[in-house]
Amino acid sequence: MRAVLESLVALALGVLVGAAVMAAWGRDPWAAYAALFTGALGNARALASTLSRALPLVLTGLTFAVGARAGLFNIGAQGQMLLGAVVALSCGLFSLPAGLHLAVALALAGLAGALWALPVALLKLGRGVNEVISTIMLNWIAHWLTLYLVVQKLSDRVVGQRTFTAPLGMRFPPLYGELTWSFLVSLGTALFLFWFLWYHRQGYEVRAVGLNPKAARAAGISVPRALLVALLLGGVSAAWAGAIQVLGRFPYAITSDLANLGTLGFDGIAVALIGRNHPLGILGGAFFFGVLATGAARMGLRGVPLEMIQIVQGVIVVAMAAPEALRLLRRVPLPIRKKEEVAA
Amino acid sequence: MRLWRAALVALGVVALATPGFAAKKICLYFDQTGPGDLSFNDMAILGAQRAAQEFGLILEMTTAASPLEFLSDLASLAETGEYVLIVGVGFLLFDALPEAARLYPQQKFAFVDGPNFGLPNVIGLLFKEQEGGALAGVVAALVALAHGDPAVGAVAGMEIPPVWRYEAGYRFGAYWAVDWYRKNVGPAPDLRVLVTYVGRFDDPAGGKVATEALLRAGARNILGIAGATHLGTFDAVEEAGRAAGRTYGPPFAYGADAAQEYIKPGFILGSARKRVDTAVYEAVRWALGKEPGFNLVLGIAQEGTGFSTEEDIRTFVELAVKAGYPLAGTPQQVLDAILGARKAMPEYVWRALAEFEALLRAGAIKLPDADTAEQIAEVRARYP
Repeated sequence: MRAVLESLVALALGVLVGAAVMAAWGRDPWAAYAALFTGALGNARALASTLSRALPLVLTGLTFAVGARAGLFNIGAQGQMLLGAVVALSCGLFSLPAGLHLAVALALAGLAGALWALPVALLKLGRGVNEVISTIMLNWIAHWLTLYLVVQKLSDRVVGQRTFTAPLGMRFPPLYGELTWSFLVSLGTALFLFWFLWYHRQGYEVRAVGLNPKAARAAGISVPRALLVALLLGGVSAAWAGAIQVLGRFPYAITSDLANLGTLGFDGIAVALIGRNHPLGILGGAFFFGVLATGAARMGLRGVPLEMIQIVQGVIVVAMAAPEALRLLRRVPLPIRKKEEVAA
Repeated sequence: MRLWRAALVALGVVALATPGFAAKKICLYFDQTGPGDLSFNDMAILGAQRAAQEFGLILEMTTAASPLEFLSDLASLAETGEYVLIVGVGFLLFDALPEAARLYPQQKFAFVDGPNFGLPNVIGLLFKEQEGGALAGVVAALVALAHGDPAVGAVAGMEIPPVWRYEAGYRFGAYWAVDWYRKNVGPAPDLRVLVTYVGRFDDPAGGKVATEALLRAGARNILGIAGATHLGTFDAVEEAGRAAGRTYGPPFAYGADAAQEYIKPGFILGSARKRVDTAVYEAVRWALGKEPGFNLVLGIAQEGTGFSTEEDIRTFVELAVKAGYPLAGTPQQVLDAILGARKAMPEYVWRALAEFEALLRAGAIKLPDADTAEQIAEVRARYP
């Protein structure tokens, strides 16, 4: 309850600062916010766009959240998401019966995501390499690998700015507007992880390790196993974000600058923070993000410059994410903080 | 005349105030960058402004926040039902625009750089970019030969058909010019054509880096076919020239779409023209009529492509002044610098250009096609 109240205060603050920015540039902030609201939720088609924007963010948000629950700062979702997208699309190079094709693509994408998370776990457990460092490096490797495959190997013969489109049998069937049945993947994964973290022994271990690794070890919990589980689940989830973006959203392809995959992985961090690293909170956080993204685009149609929209969007997101981010910083024993405390 | 205009305005006010009588509007929808690229997008705006003024329409414009928004943006614009015409500016809308047009068959769309997909409510606005590219290639190659350069260059945006067509023409023109030089001036070495794709249309910093690499490789005549990205090409070329103590090139850059010489007077020798403005204007006229959609293809025969003339340069300097662009000097100084650089080049450069243009207009030259990856690969192999 307190979390909800905190979020509402943060939201109000963010909205007010955003309004001040717009007013300072001589725009009517309330008209712009009205455009944002109706643009994102005004009718069924808009709502479908908003939801379709939110779906992959649920999955990358979960990646960060599961890591954070285990005490990790896992920012590897971006690379795993890219890889998941390109692996899923590559499954279009062979043909299978409709439906089965989609299932195989999802399975292989998930596997790729887990494999990409594996070095992070091995480096951390074997050599004590901080996951922030290893995930940043693996993100870049995944970025360039994906870019190479998209531009050199999967590019469309006629429309050079994107890959070939996923064959029909490999796509999620459309539901309404831009929304497809891919929502089942996001919703299912969120519900599964909620059950896993709160109602399964292994999930309990993950959370225990996150709260206090020493106490967990003393209680006979295998810390390495808990970290491995958190990283691998995160990898699968992030890879599915990429996969559903390609197989469950128009134009069912990857653009050659990777722009339709964008920063889904990094945005997931903000989504997780807004959702307090709780699977159900993340459903809300992603929806909120979807509202902002879709609504902001509609604000653009009302003549508000893109740059200003991004400032307003940024201010609101930062405000919403701040409470949980501060809490994380207070809890995670970063070496820098230790030094500060010593100095104090 | 003035009375007429007052009456029109009054009528407009009444129309606006009357419920159910929506004011007629057109909307430009940009796939990337938006206004201010001084090239492709700004040319579209120019045409739309002219049409809006002439036909008494209100012009609105907006830029995609990301490719994720293409379809939902176009759909929500169409849904308002307020627009006589929605102009999709940029080839990246290739998937989203026809999809939106099918969803909203009552809404008319124009697609700059793309086809009409056989849809009755879409006008495709296509150009023979090869022609402008070839003309620029002729000039670039001859200036390069006159200065003993081993290569000419181009900085391109994304690998898409309209850019491929520019590149194909440029390569063809450069090779034609080397042959012409051998026939009319004297022996000449082979020239290489170096083309770098930056991958974006909104990355001037990337364009600058790519240009610096081309300059180091000996290409001192560089065509920009990358929208706002090749604004970085202009910066790099001017910097290199000034560092060598010169007030005009070589090195030279060449602009695209608009007549861009005024941006760096003396260091931009010419521009491959593509009259996006004419195309958009024609599209608005189409939208106000009853004709079903078709592909409007503009080439040199319709004055839709070409190499910037002195008149083009003057027009764009005037436009720059009107738009408040910070010129490097008075308009006259800028003009003098641009035309001075042209005059400083050997006379045969302009003779060859005129000859090539005459052959093109007479249909005596067949430029290579470059609408698919295979075709551009073939052109690259043939004119390396």
